Amino acid sequence: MNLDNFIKNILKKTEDKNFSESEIYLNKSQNFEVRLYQGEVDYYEENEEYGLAFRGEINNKMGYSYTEKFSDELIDDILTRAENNANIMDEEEKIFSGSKSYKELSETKGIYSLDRTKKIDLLKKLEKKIFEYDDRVRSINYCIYADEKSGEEIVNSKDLNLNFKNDISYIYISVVVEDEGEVHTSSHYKLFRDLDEVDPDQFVKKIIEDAVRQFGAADIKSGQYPVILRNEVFIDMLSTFSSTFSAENVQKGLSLFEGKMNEQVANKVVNIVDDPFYAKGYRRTPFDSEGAASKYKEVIKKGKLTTYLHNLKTAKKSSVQTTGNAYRSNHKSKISISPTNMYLKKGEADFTKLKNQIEKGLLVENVQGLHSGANQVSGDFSLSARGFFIENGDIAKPVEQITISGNFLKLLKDIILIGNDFKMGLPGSGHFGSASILVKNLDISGS
Amino acid sequence: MLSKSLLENIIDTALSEGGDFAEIFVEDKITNSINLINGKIDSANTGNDYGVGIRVIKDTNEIYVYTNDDQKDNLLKLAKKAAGMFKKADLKSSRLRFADYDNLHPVKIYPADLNQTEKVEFIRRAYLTADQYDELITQVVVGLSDYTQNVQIANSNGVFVEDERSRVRLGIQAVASLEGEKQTGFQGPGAHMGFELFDQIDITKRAEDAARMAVTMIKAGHAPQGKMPVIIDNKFGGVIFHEACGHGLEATSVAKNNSVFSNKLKEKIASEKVTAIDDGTIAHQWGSQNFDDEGHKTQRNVLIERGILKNYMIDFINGRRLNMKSTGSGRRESYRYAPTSRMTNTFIDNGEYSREEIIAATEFGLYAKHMGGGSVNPATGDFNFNVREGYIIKNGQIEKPVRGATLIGKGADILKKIDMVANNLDLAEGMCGSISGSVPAGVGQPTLRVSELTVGGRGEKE
Repeated sequence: MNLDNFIKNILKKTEDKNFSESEIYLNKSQNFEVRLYQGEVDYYEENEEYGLAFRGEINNKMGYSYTEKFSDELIDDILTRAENNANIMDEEEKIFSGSKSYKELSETKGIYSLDRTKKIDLLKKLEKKIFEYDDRVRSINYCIYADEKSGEEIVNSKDLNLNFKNDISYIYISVVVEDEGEVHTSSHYKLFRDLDEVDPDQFVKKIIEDAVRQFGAADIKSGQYPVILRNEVFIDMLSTFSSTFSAENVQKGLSLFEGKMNEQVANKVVNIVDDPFYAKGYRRTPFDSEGAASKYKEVIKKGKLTTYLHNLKTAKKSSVQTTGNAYRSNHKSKISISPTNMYLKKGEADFTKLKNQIEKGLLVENVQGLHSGANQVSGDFSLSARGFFIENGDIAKPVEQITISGNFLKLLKDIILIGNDFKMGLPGSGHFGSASILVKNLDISGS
Repeated sequence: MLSKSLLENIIDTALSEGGDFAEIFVEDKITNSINLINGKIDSANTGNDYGVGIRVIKDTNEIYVYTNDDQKDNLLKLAKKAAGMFKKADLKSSRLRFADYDNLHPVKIYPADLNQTEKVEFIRRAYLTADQYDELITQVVVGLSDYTQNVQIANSNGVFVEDERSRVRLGIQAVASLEGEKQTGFQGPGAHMGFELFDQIDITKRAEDAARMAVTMIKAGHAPQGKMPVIIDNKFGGVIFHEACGHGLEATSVAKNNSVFSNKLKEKIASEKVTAIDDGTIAHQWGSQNFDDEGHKTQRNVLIERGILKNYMIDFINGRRLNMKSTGSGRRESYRYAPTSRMTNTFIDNGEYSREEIIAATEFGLYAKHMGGGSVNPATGDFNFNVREGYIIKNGQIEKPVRGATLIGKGADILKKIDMVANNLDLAEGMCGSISGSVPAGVGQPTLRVSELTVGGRGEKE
């Protein structure tokens, strides 16, 4: 589909309307996904899609609209909708003419176009190995291979013209194991840009061991315990609470970090970075969704909060420079704020060292319910969890049907040791990473 | 929208290489959303979602492709490509039969009939009420969203459906602050109808309730931890059944033996106090539709009757896997998703007690007056959900509010532990996320008591 003419025609028609400035944001994405079931591909998907967003300024107010229909006769609708929206806005917003310079970043070369049968064969191999590894594997409820490729393009009346593409591939598998009527599940994922990065044996070992080690799990007595949060668990928590770094939420009284700039908000071992250039990140980009240059920054440095994440609107309100964190998840969303690739910097402790710090405590392998059991405004969380009880530095028994509760601010202050098992999670609005962490204590509810 | 002859042509092309079933889903949807924060309109966006999804199935294997480009050549090319995934020709010729139907959800005031300024009035009314409710209210966020979705669904069995769905929803979040802490309250009324919604619901009352919840919670202590009886109130309290059991009764997980309720038909899986229903036909209810997204009429499906498992929620392809009929449960967020079995409006039916009787019969426990969301692992039945507004019950009376409670347990256990059910069934609105995207889902129940659940809080059990 050639959209260049359509874009030109829209921008040309804005001259007949009241827009003083205007901008087109184009989202192009491709995805390929297969799901395997009992040796057969039982779901296959391959798509290419486009979305186009318009925004235009009228009396310093911004009007938004979007479309997935690309026909010239609809241009009037697109512009009229944006005009009607500009007319009810109370907040001011500006179209950007561009930053002085942008980091030179080469686009990744992923494997979207690589022979599909190689990908399916890898998945088949994994499925086969899983069933061979342990006869307590009852079923595989998800066995997914996916390639995702997405591109952003910004063209505006202030002569800005930017585009950048990103791609990533991943395998996600979830297994069900059963022994004498007792059922457990475990899931595991691997992100990569080359098939060679996947070690099938290691993948299978990780997922099965994690599943079967849960046999015999029970709850524990309620109380406060020191806790190790596994890397994937803290990745999910960081992702959930990352909205608190947004200057927009701070200015609107919806952030825990309001009034805490330059204060010690975390233990001094904690360094949290937002890195739009991080090679393994899926949110790698030289510019943000408003066209401002992306920047590397340490959001929390040695436990001290050093910056909020800004777009142009919040930066203007706070009289600072934008941090290049303007974000649109796609053409349908307005400009907001999001981290790019955000991660807790890894420490030096290996896993044994983390465990050895605990006399009686918990290793949390998995939490559920972050979308409902964690409140981004108050920072409170109470999550369903499973893992292992640790006694004198050793894993003593599996634990399930417990909740871990606390407050994100207190958790940051209670991180006393950081592991070296760093990994990146599955990408969402931001792409988050972490190693496992040792937390002084959390409230555990069991029996 | 596409012509009948083009739809037939696409279906035939999609079956030209050996698939045994083909389906087209055409979606043309106008969406609109307006948000207010700090008393100011902060964002407004209007758009047109448009695309065509083509699905080809052979036995129980499926191919799904979609596109925004509805030019005939492109659609036929795409259908051919999807067809080519299955080998061996098996030519058919499709004749679609247009399905006439009575619209159960007629719209009086279409979203497009009101201009943005008129819509802002509803938002401001909610904002002003919540903002002035109490001096502890420090922030109010109000969002209004509406859409009208037109779909065409056609398949190689001759099904040809055109349906229109309009939905309107208002979200009111109030934030209360005290001594550096914040707590929130929420109300989110919505329906499968137009803006006549606001003739039926009282915006002022809803906004007050959101503010009241935030103010109550900011003054509340921490919820206790440990196992205790839990009374869950009606309306959105039904999220407990939705999470703990509803997902496990979707054919998506049942058919592949990934649910705790697989192979349990006709067995007693719940206390005999429990009758549970999924009903996509209730007029104007949030999760209702004339047809599901596979062109099958929605139904009232009794899932559990007096504790006995009667039926699952079934879509086309999982119907093949289970050798059972579709129950009109095939749903998807948009043309970007292949459909799968999902809930519509799911609720536990009325029992015999009153709310007051249940509270009076409880010596010590948690009263969950407003629930938040939750999630479940269908294979193990492990669920969790959070309580937005909770109270401690002592000696048969509501003692004091508590915050931060999470309820966890196993779906199969909780169904057996429901020991009192009231007679005040009512429904509420939610969004449900799963493998075919996020869809509007109604939840509901009368007030009921679970004899024992694990409550995860930060306070001591007294």
